[in-house]
Amino acid sequence: MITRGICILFCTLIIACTPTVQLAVPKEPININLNVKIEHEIYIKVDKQLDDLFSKSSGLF
Amino acid sequence: MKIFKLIKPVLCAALLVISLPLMAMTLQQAMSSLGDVKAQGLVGEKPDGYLGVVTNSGNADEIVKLINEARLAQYQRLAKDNNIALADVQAMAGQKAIEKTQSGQYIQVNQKWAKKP
Repeated sequence: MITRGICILFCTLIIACTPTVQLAVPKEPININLNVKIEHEIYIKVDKQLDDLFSKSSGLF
Repeated sequence: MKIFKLIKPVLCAALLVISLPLMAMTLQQAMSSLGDVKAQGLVGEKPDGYLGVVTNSGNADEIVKLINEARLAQYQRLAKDNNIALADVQAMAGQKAIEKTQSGQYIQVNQKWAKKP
């Protein structure tokens, strides 16, 4: 009986002393903005197409 | 009724055949005179990607109208192909056109015409 008591006490102590690490979920979602790079690439592409337009349809400019 | 049904497409086709070369000719003429009117300082480049009339002399007005219509069509195509706003294409083209304008020809700066240094 005493052994059992000690065991329960021991277990309780261990549980009570187990350090808990709390992971808090951020309230706001994490946004990674990839649009900037994509937009940049599109603008480079359009810039090139405009150059083509200027040289091919030079009569328009 | 049957004659009407026949006449309509024939008439449309005939109109198209007549008007196409006329339209093409006019834009062609505008394109070939563009260099001259630019050099004469009658027209200049605007930051919005279009030509503007500096001094309305001769057919400067008509040339500007035709060239700008053709430019708009090209800008719309670029905007659609790349899925970006027409205004962005126009602004980029305007900047480029001003950069490429020869010294002494007109560009529009802050809504006013100025000779490019």
